[in-house]
Amino acid sequence: MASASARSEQAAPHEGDSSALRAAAVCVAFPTVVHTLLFDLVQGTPRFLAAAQSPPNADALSIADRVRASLAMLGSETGRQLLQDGNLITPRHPSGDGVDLLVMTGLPLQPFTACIVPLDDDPTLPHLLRNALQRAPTAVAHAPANSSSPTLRAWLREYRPDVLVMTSSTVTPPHLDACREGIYELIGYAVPPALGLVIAPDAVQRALADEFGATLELVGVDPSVYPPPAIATAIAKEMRERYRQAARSQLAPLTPFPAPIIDLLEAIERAASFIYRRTNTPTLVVSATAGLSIALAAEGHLRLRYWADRDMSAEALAFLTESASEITRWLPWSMRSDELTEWVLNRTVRPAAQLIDERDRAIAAAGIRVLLQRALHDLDTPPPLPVQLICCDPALYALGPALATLTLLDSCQPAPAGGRVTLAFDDVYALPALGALAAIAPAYAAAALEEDGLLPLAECLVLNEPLSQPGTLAVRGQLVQGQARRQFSLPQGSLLRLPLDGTEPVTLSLQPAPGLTAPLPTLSEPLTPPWPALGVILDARGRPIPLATEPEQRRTQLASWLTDVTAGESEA
Amino acid sequence: MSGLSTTLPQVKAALTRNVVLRVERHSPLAGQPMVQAGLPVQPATPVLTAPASVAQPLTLAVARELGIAPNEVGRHLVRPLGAAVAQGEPVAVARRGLRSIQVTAPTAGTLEAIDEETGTLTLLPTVEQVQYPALVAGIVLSAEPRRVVLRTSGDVLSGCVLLGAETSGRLLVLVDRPDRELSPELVTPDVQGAIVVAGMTVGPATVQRLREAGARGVIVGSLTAETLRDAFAIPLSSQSVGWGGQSQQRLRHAFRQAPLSILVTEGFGRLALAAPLFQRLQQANTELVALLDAESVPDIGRPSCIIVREGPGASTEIPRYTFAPGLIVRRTDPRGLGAVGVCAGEPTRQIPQVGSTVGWSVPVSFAPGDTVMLPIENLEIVAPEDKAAR
Repeated sequence: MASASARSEQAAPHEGDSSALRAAAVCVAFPTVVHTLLFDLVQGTPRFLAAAQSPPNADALSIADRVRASLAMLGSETGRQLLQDGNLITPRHPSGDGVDLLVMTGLPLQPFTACIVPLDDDPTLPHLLRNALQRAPTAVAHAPANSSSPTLRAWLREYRPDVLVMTSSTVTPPHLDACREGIYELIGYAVPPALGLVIAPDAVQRALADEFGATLELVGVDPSVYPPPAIATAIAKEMRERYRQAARSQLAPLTPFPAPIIDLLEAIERAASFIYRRTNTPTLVVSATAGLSIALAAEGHLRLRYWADRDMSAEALAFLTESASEITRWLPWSMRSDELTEWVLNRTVRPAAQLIDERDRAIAAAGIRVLLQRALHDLDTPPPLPVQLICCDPALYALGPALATLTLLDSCQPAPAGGRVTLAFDDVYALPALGALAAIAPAYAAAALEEDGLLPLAECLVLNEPLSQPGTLAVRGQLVQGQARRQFSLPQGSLLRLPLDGTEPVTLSLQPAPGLTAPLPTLSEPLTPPWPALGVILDARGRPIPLATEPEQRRTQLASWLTDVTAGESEA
Repeated sequence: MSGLSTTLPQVKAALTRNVVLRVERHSPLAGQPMVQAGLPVQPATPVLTAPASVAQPLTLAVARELGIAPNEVGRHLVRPLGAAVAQGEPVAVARRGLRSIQVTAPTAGTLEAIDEETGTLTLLPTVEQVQYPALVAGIVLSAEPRRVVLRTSGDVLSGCVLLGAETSGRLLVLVDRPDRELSPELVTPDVQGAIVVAGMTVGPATVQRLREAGARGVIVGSLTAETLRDAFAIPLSSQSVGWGGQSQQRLRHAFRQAPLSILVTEGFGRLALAAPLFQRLQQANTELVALLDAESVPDIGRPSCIIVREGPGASTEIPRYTFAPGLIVRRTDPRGLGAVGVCAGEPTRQIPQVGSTVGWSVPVSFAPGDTVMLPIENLEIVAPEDKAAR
């Protein structure tokens, strides 16, 4: 399971021997904050013990200092000493101080910026390369079509790419001269890309190498020689490796051996693969921290994609690339497009602030719904999505349990076979931490993931079919727990939350309203604790979710859905 | 590692008084420094000169134009390689019968090279040179082709964004309150060459008036989306072509194109300039100030207004603070943005919910009876304790 490169970095005494591993710390690092999670054996089983983060708005701390600060904080939280003179204590002492293993993950550096410059008008290769680059920590930008030379020069100067990707299917590409001038421009400004990828026939590669080979590291691939999927895989791998090397250079040595670095995407990919193999259900993992990452595991495949320029904080500017009405239509009140613009700009320039106001959270949720929907379309898996498990990261969970649930339901519109979908959350970056740990100690990580990787957010039962008569009865039902019975009914177009508590198992039965032909979701076995934070959510809005077109009606609809899901939230 | 002695962050305040600062003047293209280390400079002193743009070589098809063999181009040049030529000046001439045929320079430049295989001549166009002034009074610490580092001293007010170019000028306070909007009729002729303190915000009409009157820059609490769109034509609507890349970089680039320099201290919308900052600006009325990008004041790391104050006693270290009672702070979350209050107690660690990461929160008093517990991520320190400044 572990890649060769990851293993070669691992020089700890327990290499390849998970049984010798007792305590592990995993740093999930982002440019301005580092979260560190501590795992240790509890009664022989690897368990999550605690998490801590570096001071979020401290000035002038390097990434290595932030790692140390988070380890210091973790030590203070747990009463274990993890650092001595600024260095990690390793291996773990019998007293519990120190750890046997430190692993780095996250996106400690800004992603590379890759600019795709098509040298001809064939869109196939640029599309393929965009998808490949989005499997690595890369912000991908695509040159405007048919750019004139001055336009392309200005565009490249603005983006200052770390990686310039040039594509052509022909030996005499019509835009080669414009691209050459663009490269001269970058060199003049002393911002030459670290790497130039030339996916073009040999003659084009040679022409560019003759001119820029001394200034620019160029790597060429002839698309007529290698199959496109192999090119895409190689490029994604290369970009990940380069990111790993760049991250390593930023981390002062904390241990006598270099800590393994697994980027956030690889960590998510590994965690999603494990969950899919373990549960054997179509699974979607969504992360909205430092960009938007989606891993969709279904039908024996895992699709991973990363959009560096979309999230709810530093990259909230992505909200403005949609029409404002696309975003504001998800708000239960009226908002002018200028207000949205100001909100987005304020969020972009001060991304670290927590959204503690309900209105702010609603705006963020509206934006991320649209970005998620667009991401699923980009992944060629538009909603409704036949997934049975959706996992969200701390950034999404920070919207609050009810709004996070509604946001995931609205954007993914899960329509699983059998009508049952589980929503789960990760509030401390345990999923990427354990995904990264899995690259080094797979058995240890699997055991910890099994126990502590995710927390249940809601068990959702959805009516998959289009429902045409909002307000009329959809289902009646009964929830039984021990001697207690709760009967309920649910109209079409609504949601119902059934909070769960107590210790006894719960059974749920549903009966369709007369005339309803849609198949009803079923629970094949009783639900048992631990209970999801929100309990059971019945979603009788049908698929696709019918969002009203008339503004006032739509706002009423959105407000009522939020009320449906929020009802009794304090009990959660 | 100063941040590690305690698990609370140590941060700089938005208002820093009497400190020694490094100011860096950069040119995007390599140029020539115009000063030497150790020399004193004034705000208007040019410290660096550099080309305005990259010279893109032009290829002139001389052999084809003159009807000569490719390897004969050198013999037909009017001036030797390396010589400068003016726009329209002949660069190569040939006789064809009784007629004289010539190739002229499409732009001023330098004759760079001949390719005898293709019969072409490379002309390197002359590009305009830009001079970069010091913008602050101080001493030159180092001078390189792309960067001159100066040492200055004074007070620093940091903001959240700077639109337009870096600039300097005499400060002119045109409003009497930090929550007042500067209207066009309040713009007086003496704004020419000045940095105007405009209170809460400026609308498109006022921006137009300030530009017409020759103001060099403006300091405001906030700008509305309407002003960004109508006064600066910054494409922030759905019509803008996809942003792509990383937002901060894209935003900086878009804002840099603004035709008037504006330092925004609080954010976007209609937000009053923080009172402690406004009071300091009032005190500095008519003094020389500079509006600088974050990259130009690396010790601060944010776009700033520098009120230069020469003389002894300046601290050589930028003070940092941990959240503590009495500090003046402002909110940074969108809903509460710009609200100024005072830390009313010690920070405490709070666990939002079981299993969640522990975070720091601090009580902040915004008015008598209005004390709110806020996460420290949602606060910036404006200034050390100064109750009179609230």
